[in-house]
Amino acid sequence: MWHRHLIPALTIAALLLAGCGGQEAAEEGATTEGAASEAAAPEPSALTVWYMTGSLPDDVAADLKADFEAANEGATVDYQVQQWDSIGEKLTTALAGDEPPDVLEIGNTQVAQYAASGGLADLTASVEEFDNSDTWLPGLAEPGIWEDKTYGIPFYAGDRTVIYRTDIFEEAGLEPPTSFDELLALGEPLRAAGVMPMYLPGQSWYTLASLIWDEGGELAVDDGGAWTGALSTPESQAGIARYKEMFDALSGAPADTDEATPQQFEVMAQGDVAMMIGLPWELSGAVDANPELDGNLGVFVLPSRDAGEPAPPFVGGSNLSVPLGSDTPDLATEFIKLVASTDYQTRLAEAGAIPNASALAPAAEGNPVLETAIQAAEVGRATPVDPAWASVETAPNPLKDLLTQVLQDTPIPEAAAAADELIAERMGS
Amino acid sequence: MATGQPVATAPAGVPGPSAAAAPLPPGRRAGLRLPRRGWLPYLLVAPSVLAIAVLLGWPLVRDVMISFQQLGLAEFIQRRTVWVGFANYHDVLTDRFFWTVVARTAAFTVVNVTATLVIGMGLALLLQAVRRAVRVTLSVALVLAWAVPPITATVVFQWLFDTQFGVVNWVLTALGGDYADHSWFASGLSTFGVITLLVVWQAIPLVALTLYAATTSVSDELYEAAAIDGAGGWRRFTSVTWPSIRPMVLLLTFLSVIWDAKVFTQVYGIRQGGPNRETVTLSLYAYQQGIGSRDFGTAAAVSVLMVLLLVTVLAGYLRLMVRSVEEAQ
Amino acid sequence: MIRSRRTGLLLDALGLAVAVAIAFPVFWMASTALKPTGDILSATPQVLPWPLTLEHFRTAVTRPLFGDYLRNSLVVVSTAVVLSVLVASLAALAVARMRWRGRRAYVLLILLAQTAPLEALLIPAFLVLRDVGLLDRLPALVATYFIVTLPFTIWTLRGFVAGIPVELEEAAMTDGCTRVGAFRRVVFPLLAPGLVATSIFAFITAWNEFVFALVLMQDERHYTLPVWLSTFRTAFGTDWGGTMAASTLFTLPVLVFFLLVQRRLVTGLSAGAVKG
Repeated sequence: MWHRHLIPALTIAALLLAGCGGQEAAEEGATTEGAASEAAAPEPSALTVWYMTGSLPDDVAADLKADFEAANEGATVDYQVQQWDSIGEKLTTALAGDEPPDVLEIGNTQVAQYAASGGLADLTASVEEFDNSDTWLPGLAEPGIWEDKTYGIPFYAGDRTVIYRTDIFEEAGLEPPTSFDELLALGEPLRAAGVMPMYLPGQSWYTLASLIWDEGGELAVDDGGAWTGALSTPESQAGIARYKEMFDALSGAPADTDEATPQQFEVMAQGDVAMMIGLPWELSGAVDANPELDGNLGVFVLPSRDAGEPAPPFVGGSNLSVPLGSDTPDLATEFIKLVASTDYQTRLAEAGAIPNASALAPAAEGNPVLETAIQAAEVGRATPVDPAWASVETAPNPLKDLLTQVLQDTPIPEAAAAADELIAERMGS
Repeated sequence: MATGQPVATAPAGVPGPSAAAAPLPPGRRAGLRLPRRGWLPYLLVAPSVLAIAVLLGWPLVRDVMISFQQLGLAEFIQRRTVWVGFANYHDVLTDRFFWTVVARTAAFTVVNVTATLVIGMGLALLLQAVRRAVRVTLSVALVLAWAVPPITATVVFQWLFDTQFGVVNWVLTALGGDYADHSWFASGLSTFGVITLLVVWQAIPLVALTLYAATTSVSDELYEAAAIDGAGGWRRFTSVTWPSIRPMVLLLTFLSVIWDAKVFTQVYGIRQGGPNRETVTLSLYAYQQGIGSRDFGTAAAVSVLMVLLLVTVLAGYLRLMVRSVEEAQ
Repeated sequence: MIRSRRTGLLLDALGLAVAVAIAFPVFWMASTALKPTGDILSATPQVLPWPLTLEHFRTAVTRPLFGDYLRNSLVVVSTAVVLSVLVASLAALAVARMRWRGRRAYVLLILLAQTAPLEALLIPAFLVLRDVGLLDRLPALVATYFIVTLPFTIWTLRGFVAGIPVELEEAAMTDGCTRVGAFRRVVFPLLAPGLVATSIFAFITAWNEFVFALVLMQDERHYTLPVWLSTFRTAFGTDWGGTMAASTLFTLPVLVFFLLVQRRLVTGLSAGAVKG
């Protein structure tokens, strides 16, 4: 009975097909390169733009679209707003798919790995054509460069300052501190006033990075091609020690949570917290949650050890890139030029983001929160520019574990050494 | 191959009197007019075999192939194939942390599966024992627990167990305990406790409802007969209820082992493997080494290893279940 | 089930207590959805939402593309569930009622299929779909959810079919039913609880699936409801009220489906008590 063999035969056939599929993909090779180079600009053409939720206020996005379509006949802009959840997988598969979008927003800590992957278009030739490209913020520009070629154009930045309750400070007769020691000294009087001096969750590794950099230490160093963790150096350990000092002196938050669980601005909105280290939108978030805070919140930079200087803040932000497989790379570049233009960067500043170039700092005039943030960003730093850094930040994050250990009294050298090992492992694989 | 013989000699059925039915009235064929009887079973299973071969088999084969490749972001995007033999497997198997994680996952699975089945079975019996209105209420509660998206459930549990703002601490303090600002996530064990509670909470409904459904197929008369024979509650359970739900319990154990060993969302959501990587299970390890690091070759290798581990552990079960199919007929 | 009056009441009380305990986190979710944002996180937990607010529900359903997400989810999931249950029923019949060469191998195949690591198959599935040009097409999701739920459904239904004595069918046929009639009148009602349990399982599994939906679909108009759920985690912190409202709405279809079919599950053997 031949039907007895039908099922095994079908199964084998399916499996053989699977094998063939694999071979075909292998033989295709880098056909995406060919596709991009021979793409003429067809008319009419659709430009698919991916940006992260919150990166462009609705009115700015609408105006961008209108201006771009007016200036480029036949072009239409199709926005696809991306969510934060699983964005890494989304970007990865988009770049590997057959129809990638034309413009991508990628976080500055992630852009190096995509640049190194060969999935992004080389924009080096057009760099000079972008407004203010000579004063781009290093924290945004450097991560976008891989092997001397530019793959990511600075979009906007953000950094953290200390958000504080002006009314509580006033009542207690306190002033914003100008040095680290002055900051620590605020603990006692604030506790005496019956409030938590600072809600600093134990695992705020961005703040840790600031303190390490302030001491002259590094998170990781490139030792001739191989990255190793640099947390065990005397400078870095000094930074870790200062974090513990600050936590013990000021914080009433748990040692084993980060700033998102629970959201720190919501805790601040409860009312009994005098300070927190956060981004500008966290300030408005706190006001939304508790309208009584309106007018009672101010900012100052996290002070350095040296009086009058800011500790180098962690500069976060995004870049804009063009996937190599885009069928309209020239149009895409034009769009990015528009976003990075002085006009639109000024509009982003008005919405509270740090514009991509230091020449544009004056755009923040009239917004003290933003001005303070920009002032700090001038000495800001970003994480190591290497494709492998992204896997260090993948949970479980060794820096977060380091902090919890130290705050729960593990000796610093021990905890730092363990973290260094993990960093080296993750960056080496 | 049978050829249109009377139903009385049909091979299907459960243990019990067979082939005792009266012959069919003349002119009545045993089944629908189908080509030779021998065709029928193959026709019935063909769709599922095809589906499994193509929709599951093909990606699985691809997965195994990838496990022998170096497939990082660059190779993935540029569509290059780089064969590296057993290098991925070597990296994983020589990582001491991997073995810690395996042992930990095994312990976690045992605890979760046991809790799920014991409580689930208890609830199935409870469902059987209560009056209709209560049964519906309890079923609805179970379905609600089951239907909540796992990520939302994780968030809710985080809130309930939050150090400063959680309901659990508040209730325990109100009851007199010293639980103000007690951190449930300070140790791996305690964190696992919360994770287990969360996972088991959402796993019980399936077990409870499926086992309850299985008990409904036992006719009341059997219980009555047992009662008349003087059997008490426990005896009724062992001689009437248990035999009818045993196959389902076997299946649910088998599945629970697989699912609990692979659970990701809840473990990741609660503390991302913390504190200090003490709650990293195999699925988190796979994620961190693989997709999270954009190292898909290693991710594939870990997944293959996981399947091999599961199949090895469950080999005994597999044999039992294949045999139970034979015995049933 | 025989029970004395007193144990009966005790058991009923226990059943209700257990129901409350199990439903508590769900209650918490729904009550958070009704609380004003400021009340969601507070040092003294507020069990009852007061004042009540519907703004989170409003925010949730006025999210852009909500209608698309809902439609896609409904279509994809119901198709997958129906397919799964249909195909599984056929296979379950064959395995439980007939003897044939290769049945053992088939059983082993089904069991092994359960061990397949779904999450790890994301990238291979992506590659396979890219090869055949089915990326960003909703049928790809239908196929995914169908195959994920199929093995469990087959095995469970097999168990239920096997648990139904064949004499019942035979008796019905001697009473004059056709084979199909016997199936409809005798086997199907007894199979109903199994069909209910497996279809709820299939529904919930498919309804909640996120990563495959996000990655295999590219255009945002092809996304499903779980993606909608993730949109509440914005660049400006997570909108917890919105998330809980969305989650509550998310849970409703399953609840409705269950309420519609629960009679089948609960009444069980009442239909046509066939004396052996």
